[in-house]
Amino acid sequence: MLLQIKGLEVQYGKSCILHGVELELADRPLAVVGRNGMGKSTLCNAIMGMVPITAGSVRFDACELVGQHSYQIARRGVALVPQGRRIFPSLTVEEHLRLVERPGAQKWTRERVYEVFPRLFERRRNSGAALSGGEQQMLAIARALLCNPRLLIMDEPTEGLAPLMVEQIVATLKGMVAEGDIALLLIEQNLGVALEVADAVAVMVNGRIERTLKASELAADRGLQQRFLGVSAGADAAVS
Amino acid sequence: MKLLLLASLNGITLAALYFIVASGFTLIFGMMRVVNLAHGSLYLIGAYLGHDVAALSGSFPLALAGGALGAALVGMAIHYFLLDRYQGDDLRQALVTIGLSIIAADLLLARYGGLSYQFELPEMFYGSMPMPIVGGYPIFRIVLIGLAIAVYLALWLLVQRTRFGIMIRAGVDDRHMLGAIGVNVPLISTLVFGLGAALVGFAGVVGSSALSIAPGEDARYLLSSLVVVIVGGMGSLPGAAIGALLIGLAEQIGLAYFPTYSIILSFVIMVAVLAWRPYGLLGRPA
Repeated sequence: MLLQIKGLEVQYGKSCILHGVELELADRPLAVVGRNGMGKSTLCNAIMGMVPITAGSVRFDACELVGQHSYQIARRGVALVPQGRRIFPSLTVEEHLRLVERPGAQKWTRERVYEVFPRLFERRRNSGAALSGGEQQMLAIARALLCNPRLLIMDEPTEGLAPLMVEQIVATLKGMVAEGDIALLLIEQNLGVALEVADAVAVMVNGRIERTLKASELAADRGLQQRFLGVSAGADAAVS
Repeated sequence: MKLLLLASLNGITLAALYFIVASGFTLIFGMMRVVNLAHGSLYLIGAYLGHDVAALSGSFPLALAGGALGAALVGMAIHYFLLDRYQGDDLRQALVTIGLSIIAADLLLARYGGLSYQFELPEMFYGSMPMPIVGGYPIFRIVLIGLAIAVYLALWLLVQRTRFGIMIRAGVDDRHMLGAIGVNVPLISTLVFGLGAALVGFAGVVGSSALSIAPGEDARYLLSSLVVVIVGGMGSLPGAAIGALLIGLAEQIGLAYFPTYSIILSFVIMVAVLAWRPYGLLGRPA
Protein backbone atom coordinates (compact mmCIF):
# COMPACT_ATOMS: atom_id res chain seq x y z
CA MET A 1 0.00 0.00 0.00
CA LEU A 2 1.55 3.32 -1.05
CA LEU A 3 -0.60 5.57 1.12
CA GLN A 4 -2.42 4.41 4.23
CA ILE A 5 -4.39 6.85 6.37
CA LYS A 6 -5.81 5.73 9.71
CA GLY A 7 -8.02 7.62 12.15
CA LEU A 8 -6.87 11.01 10.89
CA GLU A 9 -8.24 13.94 12.89
CA VAL A 10 -7.76 17.66 12.31
CA GLN A 11 -9.17 20.48 14.42
CA TYR A 12 -9.16 24.21 13.83
CA GLY A 13 -9.69 25.77 17.24
CA LYS A 14 -12.76 24.04 18.62
CA SER A 15 -14.26 22.90 15.35
CA CYS A 16 -13.40 19.43 14.15
CA ILE A 17 -12.82 19.27 10.39
CA LEU A 18 -11.64 15.68 9.97
CA HIS A 19 -12.73 13.02 12.40
CA GLY A 20 -11.24 9.67 11.75
CA VAL A 21 -10.46 9.52 8.04
CA GLU A 22 -9.57 6.02 6.80
CA LEU A 23 -8.17 5.83 3.29
CA GLU A 24 -5.94 3.53 1.30
CA LEU A 25 -4.33 4.09 -2.03
CA ALA A 26 -2.23 1.65 -4.04
CA ASP A 27 -1.11 2.20 -7.63
CA ARG A 28 -4.47 2.88 -9.21
CA PRO A 29 -5.82 6.45 -9.21
CA LEU A 30 -8.33 7.25 -6.49
CA ALA A 31 -10.78 10.13 -6.50
CA VAL A 32 -12.24 11.71 -3.38
CA VAL A 33 -15.60 13.36 -3.97
CA GLY A 34 -18.04 15.11 -1.69
CA ARG A 35 -19.98 18.31 -1.23
CA ASN A 36 -18.42 21.61 -0.21
CA GLY A 37 -17.12 21.89 3.33
CA MET A 38 -16.78 18.15 3.93
CA GLY A 39 -13.04 18.42 4.60
CA LYS A 40 -11.56 17.38 1.26
CA SER A 41 -9.01 20.19 1.04
CA THR A 42 -8.12 19.81 4.70
CA LEU A 43 -7.35 16.14 3.97
CA CYS A 44 -4.90 17.16 1.23
CA ASN A 45 -3.23 19.77 3.41
CA ALA A 46 -3.01 17.31 6.30
CA ILE A 47 -1.24 14.68 4.18
CA MET A 48 1.17 17.39 2.99
CA GLY A 49 1.90 18.51 6.56
CA MET A 50 0.45 21.97 6.03
CA VAL A 51 -2.11 21.85 8.85
CA PRO A 52 -1.58 20.60 12.41
CA ILE A 53 -2.85 17.04 12.91
CA THR A 54 -4.64 16.21 16.16
CA ALA A 55 -4.57 12.41 15.96
CA GLY A 56 -4.14 9.52 13.59
CA SER A 57 -1.54 8.25 11.20
CA VAL A 58 -0.54 8.84 7.58
CA ARG A 59 1.83 6.20 6.27
CA PHE A 60 3.47 6.73 2.91
CA ASP A 61 5.51 3.86 1.54
CA ALA A 62 5.76 2.41 5.08
CA CYS A 63 6.98 5.68 6.56
CA GLU A 64 5.02 7.85 9.00
CA LEU A 65 4.34 11.36 7.69
CA VAL A 66 2.53 12.82 10.71
CA GLY A 67 4.88 15.15 12.59
CA GLN A 68 7.18 15.77 9.62
CA HIS A 69 7.72 19.17 7.99
CA SER A 70 6.03 19.59 4.63
CA TYR A 71 9.42 19.93 2.90
CA GLN A 72 10.40 16.51 4.28
CA ILE A 73 7.12 15.03 3.05
CA ALA A 74 7.70 16.61 -0.37
CA ARG A 75 11.22 15.15 -0.51
CA ARG A 76 9.83 11.69 0.25
CA GLY A 77 7.89 11.91 -3.01
CA VAL A 78 4.52 13.51 -2.32
CA ALA A 79 3.53 16.54 -4.42
CA LEU A 80 0.47 18.74 -4.16
CA VAL A 81 -1.44 20.74 -6.74
CA PRO A 82 -3.35 22.85 -4.22
CA GLN A 83 -6.81 24.29 -4.38
CA GLY A 84 -6.71 27.77 -5.88
CA ARG A 85 -3.38 26.86 -7.57
CA ARG A 86 -1.28 28.99 -5.17
CA ILE A 87 1.13 30.20 -7.84
CA PHE A 88 3.82 32.57 -6.53
CA PRO A 89 2.82 35.98 -7.96
CA SER A 90 6.32 37.48 -7.80
CA LEU A 91 8.01 34.67 -9.76
CA THR A 92 8.00 34.19 -13.52
CA VAL A 93 6.94 30.87 -15.03
CA GLU A 94 10.58 30.01 -15.68
CA GLU A 95 11.52 30.83 -12.08
CA HIS A 96 8.79 28.54 -10.74
CA LEU A 97 10.30 25.68 -12.69
CA ARG A 98 13.90 26.57 -11.78
CA LEU A 99 12.86 26.56 -8.14
CA VAL A 100 11.65 22.95 -8.14
CA GLU A 101 13.91 21.41 -10.76
CA ARG A 102 16.23 18.83 -9.20
CA PRO A 103 19.70 18.30 -10.61
CA GLY A 104 20.60 15.02 -12.31
CA ALA A 105 18.73 12.68 -14.61
CA GLN A 106 15.04 12.85 -13.73
CA LYS A 107 11.92 11.68 -15.44
CA TRP A 108 10.41 15.17 -15.41
CA THR A 109 12.65 18.03 -16.49
CA ARG A 110 12.00 21.61 -17.51
CA GLU A 111 12.28 20.61 -21.19
CA ARG A 112 9.73 17.83 -20.84
CA VAL A 113 7.31 20.12 -18.98
CA TYR A 114 7.57 22.65 -21.81
CA GLU A 115 6.89 19.84 -24.32
CA VAL A 116 3.73 18.80 -22.49
CA PHE A 117 2.60 22.40 -21.90
CA PRO A 118 3.84 24.46 -24.87
CA ARG A 119 1.75 27.38 -23.62
CA LEU A 120 3.98 27.64 -20.54
CA PHE A 121 7.02 27.94 -22.80
CA GLU A 122 5.40 30.87 -24.61
CA ARG A 123 4.64 32.52 -21.27
CA ARG A 124 7.92 31.63 -19.54
CA ARG A 125 8.95 35.24 -18.92
CA ASN A 126 5.56 36.31 -17.55
CA SER A 127 4.96 36.60 -13.85
CA GLY A 128 2.65 34.16 -12.10
CA ALA A 129 0.20 36.96 -11.41
CA ALA A 130 -0.21 37.68 -15.15
CA LEU A 131 -1.35 34.16 -16.10
CA SER A 132 -4.92 33.10 -16.88
CA GLY A 133 -6.64 30.53 -14.65
CA GLY A 134 -5.90 27.71 -17.09
CA GLU A 135 -2.24 28.72 -17.46
CA GLN A 136 -1.91 28.93 -13.68
CA GLN A 137 -3.32 25.42 -13.41
CA MET A 138 -0.83 24.11 -15.98
CA LEU A 139 1.96 25.79 -14.04
CA ALA A 140 0.74 24.32 -10.74
CA ILE A 141 0.72 20.84 -12.33
CA ALA A 142 4.13 21.41 -13.93
CA ARG A 143 5.54 22.60 -10.59
CA ALA A 144 4.28 19.42 -8.89
CA LEU A 145 5.53 17.11 -11.65
CA LEU A 146 9.03 18.63 -11.55
CA CYS A 147 9.25 17.43 -7.94
CA ASN A 148 9.19 13.96 -9.60
CA PRO A 149 6.71 12.62 -7.06
CA ARG A 150 5.57 9.05 -6.53
CA LEU A 151 2.22 10.32 -5.26
CA LEU A 152 0.52 13.34 -6.78
CA ILE A 153 -2.34 14.94 -4.83
CA MET A 154 -4.56 17.22 -6.88
CA ASP A 155 -7.09 19.39 -5.10
CA GLU A 156 -9.86 20.40 -7.51
CA PRO A 157 -7.66 20.91 -10.58
CA THR A 158 -10.60 21.76 -12.85
CA GLU A 159 -12.24 24.31 -10.55
CA GLY A 160 -13.18 27.49 -12.39
CA LEU A 161 -11.72 26.42 -15.74
CA ALA A 162 -13.35 26.67 -19.17
CA PRO A 163 -14.68 23.34 -20.56
CA LEU A 164 -11.95 23.15 -23.21
CA MET A 165 -9.27 23.58 -20.55
CA VAL A 166 -10.94 20.94 -18.36
CA GLU A 167 -10.68 18.51 -21.29
CA GLN A 168 -7.00 19.26 -21.70
CA ILE A 169 -6.31 18.75 -18.00
CA VAL A 170 -8.24 15.46 -18.04
CA ALA A 171 -6.22 14.30 -21.06
CA THR A 172 -2.96 15.17 -19.27
CA LEU A 173 -4.04 13.29 -16.15
CA LYS A 174 -5.08 10.23 -18.15
CA GLY A 175 -1.75 10.24 -19.97
CA MET A 176 0.06 10.40 -16.65
CA VAL A 177 -2.00 7.57 -15.20
CA ALA A 178 -1.39 5.44 -18.30
CA GLU A 179 2.36 5.87 -17.89
CA GLY A 180 1.85 4.35 -14.48
CA ASP A 181 4.76 5.64 -12.40
CA ILE A 182 2.87 8.32 -10.50
CA ALA A 183 0.00 7.40 -8.18
CA LEU A 184 -2.83 9.91 -8.19
CA LEU A 185 -5.11 11.12 -5.42
CA LEU A 186 -7.66 13.37 -7.08
CA ILE A 187 -10.02 15.61 -5.15
CA GLU A 188 -12.83 16.65 -7.45
CA GLN A 189 -16.21 18.39 -7.26
CA ASN A 190 -16.80 17.63 -10.91
CA LEU A 191 -18.04 14.03 -10.76
CA GLY A 192 -17.66 13.59 -14.51
CA VAL A 193 -13.91 14.31 -14.29
CA ALA A 194 -13.49 12.11 -11.21
CA LEU A 195 -15.19 9.13 -12.88
CA GLU A 196 -13.25 9.57 -16.10
CA VAL A 197 -9.81 9.66 -14.50
CA ALA A 198 -10.06 7.43 -11.42
CA ASP A 199 -10.73 3.71 -10.99
CA ALA A 200 -12.09 4.00 -7.47
CA VAL A 201 -14.00 6.78 -5.74
CA ALA A 202 -14.09 7.59 -2.04
CA VAL A 203 -17.06 9.61 -0.87
CA MET A 204 -16.39 12.10 1.90
CA VAL A 205 -19.18 13.20 4.23
CA ASN A 206 -18.70 15.39 7.31
CA GLY A 207 -14.98 14.79 7.77
CA ARG A 208 -15.13 11.02 7.23
CA ILE A 209 -14.79 8.68 4.29
CA GLU A 210 -18.35 7.39 4.09
CA ARG A 211 -17.72 4.76 1.47
CA THR A 212 -15.22 3.68 -1.18
CA LEU A 213 -16.50 2.12 -4.36
CA LYS A 214 -15.58 1.41 -7.97
CA ALA A 215 -15.95 4.37 -10.30
CA SER A 216 -18.17 2.33 -12.63
CA GLU A 217 -20.42 1.46 -9.71
CA LEU A 218 -20.95 5.09 -8.72
CA ALA A 219 -21.36 6.12 -12.37
CA ALA A 220 -24.21 3.65 -12.79
CA ASP A 221 -26.07 4.44 -9.60
CA ARG A 222 -27.99 7.70 -9.67
CA GLY A 223 -29.42 7.02 -6.22
CA LEU A 224 -25.97 6.87 -4.64
CA GLN A 225 -24.89 10.05 -6.43
CA GLN A 226 -27.99 11.80 -5.22
CA ARG A 227 -27.48 10.60 -1.67
CA PHE A 228 -23.80 11.43 -1.27
CA LEU A 229 -23.38 14.41 -3.54
CA GLY A 230 -26.79 15.83 -4.28
CA VAL A 231 -25.81 15.90 -7.95
CA SER A 232 -25.33 13.40 -10.70
CA ALA A 233 -22.79 12.99 -13.46
CA GLY A 234 -25.33 13.65 -16.21
CA ALA A 235 -27.24 16.82 -16.78
CA ASP A 236 -30.52 14.96 -16.38
CA ALA A 237 -30.29 14.57 -12.60
CA ALA A 238 -33.82 15.86 -12.16
CA VAL A 239 -35.31 12.87 -14.03
CA SER A 240 -34.83 10.49 -11.12
CA MET B 1 25.60 77.40 -1.65
CA LYS B 2 28.62 75.83 -0.04
CA LEU B 3 26.64 75.04 3.09
CA LEU B 4 23.82 73.45 1.11
CA LEU B 5 26.21 71.32 -0.91
CA LEU B 6 28.15 70.22 2.14
CA ALA B 7 24.94 69.38 4.02
CA SER B 8 23.74 67.40 1.00
CA LEU B 9 27.00 65.46 0.79
CA ASN B 10 26.79 64.68 4.50
CA GLY B 11 23.17 63.70 4.01
CA ILE B 12 24.10 61.27 1.24
CA THR B 13 26.88 59.79 3.39
CA LEU B 14 24.48 59.30 6.27
CA ALA B 15 21.93 57.87 3.82
CA ALA B 16 24.53 55.36 2.65
CA LEU B 17 25.00 54.16 6.22
CA TYR B 18 21.26 54.13 6.90
CA PHE B 19 20.73 52.14 3.72
CA ILE B 20 23.18 49.39 4.68
CA VAL B 21 21.58 49.13 8.12
CA ALA B 22 18.04 49.24 6.72
CA SER B 23 18.74 46.79 3.87
CA GLY B 24 19.27 44.10 6.51
CA PHE B 25 16.11 45.23 8.24
CA THR B 26 14.07 45.15 5.03
CA LEU B 27 15.21 41.57 4.36
CA ILE B 28 14.29 40.42 7.87
CA PHE B 29 11.20 42.48 8.62
CA GLY B 30 9.97 43.51 5.18
CA MET B 31 10.49 40.26 3.31
CA MET B 32 10.54 37.45 5.87
CA ARG B 33 8.04 39.23 8.17
CA VAL B 34 10.11 38.48 11.25
CA VAL B 35 9.81 41.29 13.79
CA ASN B 36 13.31 41.98 15.07
CA LEU B 37 13.61 44.89 17.45
CA ALA B 38 17.12 43.74 18.36
CA HIS B 39 18.37 44.97 14.96
CA GLY B 40 20.17 47.89 16.63
CA SER B 41 21.84 45.49 19.07
CA LEU B 42 23.22 43.52 16.13
CA TYR B 43 24.64 46.81 14.82
CA LEU B 44 26.45 47.40 18.12
CA ILE B 45 27.63 43.78 18.35
CA GLY B 46 29.06 44.05 14.82
CA ALA B 47 30.75 47.36 15.65
CA TYR B 48 32.37 46.16 18.89
CA LEU B 49 33.44 42.81 17.41
CA GLY B 50 34.92 44.65 14.44
CA HIS B 51 36.77 46.89 16.86
CA ASP B 52 38.20 43.87 18.70
CA VAL B 53 39.27 42.20 15.46
CA ALA B 54 40.92 45.43 14.30
CA ALA B 55 42.72 45.81 17.64
CA LEU B 56 44.02 42.23 17.42
CA SER B 57 44.89 42.03 13.74
CA GLY B 58 45.30 45.65 12.72
CA SER B 59 43.44 44.92 9.51
CA PHE B 60 40.38 46.89 8.44
CA PRO B 61 39.04 44.32 5.93
CA LEU B 62 39.33 41.64 8.63
CA ALA B 63 37.42 43.91 11.01
CA LEU B 64 34.64 44.27 8.42
CA ALA B 65 34.47 40.51 7.92
CA GLY B 66 34.61 39.85 11.68
CA GLY B 67 31.81 42.30 12.47
CA ALA B 68 29.59 40.91 9.72
CA LEU B 69 30.27 37.27 10.58
CA GLY B 70 29.84 37.77 14.34
CA ALA B 71 26.52 39.59 13.91
CA ALA B 72 25.37 36.91 11.44
CA LEU B 73 26.10 34.08 13.89
CA VAL B 74 24.37 35.86 16.77
CA GLY B 75 21.42 36.68 14.49
CA MET B 76 21.04 33.12 13.24
CA ALA B 77 21.14 31.79 16.79
CA ILE B 78 18.43 34.27 17.84
CA HIS B 79 16.27 33.27 14.89
CA TYR B 80 16.82 29.51 15.23
CA PHE B 81 16.34 29.24 18.99
CA LEU B 82 13.89 32.04 19.77
CA LEU B 83 12.07 33.57 16.81
CA ASP B 84 11.26 30.83 14.29
CA ARG B 85 8.83 29.10 16.66
CA TYR B 86 6.80 32.31 16.88
CA GLN B 87 6.61 32.88 13.11
CA GLY B 88 3.49 34.95 12.41
CA ASP B 89 3.10 35.93 16.08
CA ASP B 90 4.32 39.54 15.79
CA LEU B 91 3.69 40.58 19.37
CA ARG B 92 5.70 37.73 20.87
CA GLN B 93 8.59 38.30 18.47
CA ALA B 94 8.55 42.00 19.38
CA LEU B 95 8.62 41.27 23.11
CA VAL B 96 11.35 38.61 22.83
CA THR B 97 13.58 40.90 20.75
CA ILE B 98 13.01 43.96 22.97
CA GLY B 99 14.09 41.79 25.91
CA LEU B 100 17.13 40.61 23.99
CA SER B 101 18.13 44.15 23.08
CA ILE B 102 18.02 45.21 26.74
CA ILE B 103 20.16 42.22 27.75
CA ALA B 104 22.60 42.84 24.89
CA ALA B 105 22.93 46.54 25.75
CA ASP B 106 23.85 45.73 29.37
CA LEU B 107 26.26 42.95 28.42
CA LEU B 108 28.03 45.26 25.96
CA LEU B 109 28.16 48.03 28.56
CA ALA B 110 29.75 45.60 31.04
CA ARG B 111 32.31 44.42 28.50
CA TYR B 112 33.21 47.67 26.72
CA GLY B 113 32.24 50.40 29.18
CA GLY B 114 30.46 53.63 28.39
CA LEU B 115 33.22 55.42 26.49
CA SER B 116 33.02 55.86 22.76
CA TYR B 117 35.45 54.04 20.51
CA GLN B 118 36.79 54.94 17.13
CA PHE B 119 38.56 52.93 14.48
CA GLU B 120 42.06 53.37 13.20
CA LEU B 121 41.44 53.48 9.48
CA PRO B 122 43.95 52.35 6.86
CA GLU B 123 46.21 55.18 5.71
CA MET B 124 44.65 55.38 2.23
CA PHE B 125 41.23 56.34 3.64
CA TYR B 126 42.53 59.44 5.42
CA GLY B 127 42.73 62.79 3.73
CA SER B 128 40.24 64.46 1.48
CA MET B 129 39.29 64.39 -2.12
CA PRO B 130 39.38 67.74 -3.96
CA MET B 131 35.93 68.92 -5.04
CA PRO B 132 34.52 72.07 -6.61
CA ILE B 133 32.73 74.63 -4.40
CA VAL B 134 33.18 72.76 -1.08
CA GLY B 135 36.94 72.45 -1.56
CA GLY B 136 37.40 68.89 -0.37
CA TYR B 137 35.51 65.96 1.10
CA PRO B 138 36.84 63.10 3.29
CA ILE B 139 37.77 60.09 1.19
CA PHE B 140 36.29 57.62 3.67
CA ARG B 141 32.85 59.15 3.27
CA ILE B 142 33.08 58.72 -0.50
CA VAL B 143 34.11 55.08 0.11
CA LEU B 144 31.04 54.70 2.33
CA ILE B 145 28.76 55.82 -0.51
CA GLY B 146 30.50 53.34 -2.81
CA LEU B 147 29.98 50.54 -0.28
CA ALA B 148 26.26 51.29 -0.07
CA ILE B 149 25.95 51.14 -3.86
CA ALA B 150 27.87 47.84 -3.89
CA VAL B 151 25.56 46.40 -1.21
CA TYR B 152 22.52 47.51 -3.21
CA LEU B 153 23.76 45.86 -6.42
CA ALA B 154 24.82 42.66 -4.68
CA LEU B 155 21.48 42.29 -2.91
CA TRP B 156 19.56 43.08 -6.08
CA LEU B 157 21.47 40.40 -8.00
CA LEU B 158 21.00 37.91 -5.16
CA VAL B 159 17.24 38.43 -4.94
CA GLN B 160 16.53 38.71 -8.68
CA ARG B 161 19.03 36.39 -10.28
CA THR B 162 19.87 33.44 -8.02
CA ARG B 163 17.92 30.35 -6.98
CA PHE B 164 18.27 31.44 -3.34
CA GLY B 165 16.67 34.77 -4.31
CA ILE B 166 13.81 32.94 -6.03
CA MET B 167 13.27 31.03 -2.78
CA ILE B 168 13.22 34.27 -0.78
CA ARG B 169 10.62 35.83 -3.08
CA ALA B 170 8.50 32.66 -3.15
CA GLY B 171 8.66 32.49 0.65
CA VAL B 172 7.39 36.06 0.88
CA ASP B 173 4.45 35.13 -1.39
CA ASP B 174 3.43 31.83 0.20
CA ARG B 175 5.59 30.24 2.86
CA HIS B 176 3.52 27.07 3.21
CA MET B 177 3.41 26.35 -0.51
CA LEU B 178 7.18 26.82 -0.72
CA GLY B 179 7.55 24.08 1.92
CA ALA B 180 5.17 21.83 -0.01
CA ILE B 181 7.50 21.80 -3.03
CA GLY B 182 10.38 20.54 -0.95
CA VAL B 183 12.18 23.71 0.14
CA ASN B 184 13.42 23.70 3.73
CA VAL B 185 11.70 26.94 4.71
CA PRO B 186 12.95 27.15 8.33
CA LEU B 187 16.54 26.83 7.07
CA ILE B 188 16.01 29.48 4.38
CA SER B 189 14.47 31.84 6.96
CA THR B 190 17.42 31.40 9.31
CA LEU B 191 19.88 32.00 6.45
CA VAL B 192 18.04 35.16 5.34
CA PHE B 193 17.97 36.36 8.94
CA GLY B 194 21.71 35.69 9.10
CA LEU B 195 22.26 37.67 5.90
CA GLY B 196 20.29 40.61 7.28
CA ALA B 197 22.28 40.43 10.52
CA ALA B 198 25.56 40.26 8.56
CA LEU B 199 24.59 43.43 6.71
CA VAL B 200 23.85 45.33 9.91
CA GLY B 201 27.05 44.01 11.53
CA PHE B 202 28.99 45.20 8.48
CA ALA B 203 27.22 48.56 8.77
CA GLY B 204 28.24 48.66 12.44
CA VAL B 205 31.93 48.47 11.54
CA VAL B 206 31.58 50.97 8.68
CA GLY B 207 29.43 53.32 10.75
CA SER B 208 31.74 53.33 13.74
CA SER B 209 34.66 54.10 11.43
CA ALA B 210 32.88 57.08 9.93
CA LEU B 211 31.39 58.17 13.28
CA SER B 212 31.99 56.35 16.57
CA ILE B 213 30.67 53.45 18.67
CA ALA B 214 28.98 54.11 21.99
CA PRO B 215 26.12 52.71 24.06
CA GLY B 216 22.79 54.06 22.80
CA GLU B 217 23.69 53.78 19.13
CA ASP B 218 21.61 50.59 19.02
CA ALA B 219 18.35 52.45 19.66
CA ARG B 220 19.31 55.16 17.19
CA TYR B 221 19.92 52.74 14.31
CA LEU B 222 16.86 50.64 15.12
CA LEU B 223 14.76 53.79 14.94
CA SER B 224 16.35 54.99 11.72
CA SER B 225 15.85 51.53 10.13
CA LEU B 226 12.20 51.50 11.11
CA VAL B 227 11.65 54.98 9.69
CA VAL B 228 13.57 54.21 6.47
CA VAL B 229 11.73 50.92 5.85
CA ILE B 230 8.32 52.39 6.67
CA VAL B 231 8.90 55.41 4.40
CA GLY B 232 10.35 53.32 1.55
CA GLY B 233 7.89 50.44 1.79
CA MET B 234 8.27 47.11 3.55
CA GLY B 235 10.36 44.54 1.70
CA SER B 236 11.35 46.82 -1.17
CA LEU B 237 15.07 47.24 -1.80
CA PRO B 238 14.72 50.38 -3.99
CA GLY B 239 12.25 51.63 -1.36
CA ALA B 240 14.88 51.27 1.36
CA ALA B 241 17.38 53.20 -0.80
CA ILE B 242 14.92 56.04 -1.44
CA GLY B 243 13.82 56.07 2.20
CA ALA B 244 17.44 56.22 3.39
CA LEU B 245 18.20 59.11 1.02
CA LEU B 246 15.14 61.09 2.15
CA ILE B 247 15.82 60.61 5.85
CA GLY B 248 19.59 61.14 5.59
CA LEU B 249 19.22 64.34 3.58
CA ALA B 250 16.42 65.64 5.80
CA GLU B 251 18.50 65.12 8.95
CA GLN B 252 21.64 66.81 7.63
CA ILE B 253 19.98 69.71 5.78
CA GLY B 254 17.71 70.24 8.78
CA LEU B 255 20.75 70.27 11.07
CA ALA B 256 22.43 72.92 8.88
CA TYR B 257 19.49 75.29 8.46
CA PHE B 258 17.16 74.89 11.44
CA PRO B 259 19.00 72.84 14.07
CA THR B 260 16.29 73.26 16.73
CA TYR B 261 13.63 71.45 14.74
CA SER B 262 15.77 69.09 12.66
CA ILE B 263 15.03 66.20 15.00
CA ILE B 264 11.34 66.16 14.10
CA LEU B 265 11.89 66.46 10.35
CA SER B 266 12.27 62.69 9.78
CA PHE B 267 9.02 62.03 11.57
CA VAL B 268 7.22 64.75 9.64
CA ILE B 269 8.35 63.01 6.46
CA MET B 270 7.18 59.66 7.81
CA VAL B 271 3.76 61.00 8.77
CA ALA B 272 3.38 62.73 5.39
CA VAL B 273 4.33 59.58 3.45
CA LEU B 274 2.00 57.40 5.51
CA ALA B 275 -0.87 59.83 4.99
CA TRP B 276 -0.27 59.83 1.26
CA ARG B 277 0.81 56.19 0.73
CA PRO B 278 -0.02 53.99 3.72
CA TYR B 279 2.27 51.16 2.51
CA GLY B 280 5.29 53.41 1.99
CA LEU B 281 6.62 54.90 -1.24
CA LEU B 282 7.31 51.60 -3.04
CA GLY B 283 5.45 49.21 -0.74
CA ARG B 284 2.67 46.83 -1.63
CA PRO B 285 -0.22 45.81 0.60
CA ALA B 286 0.77 42.66 2.48
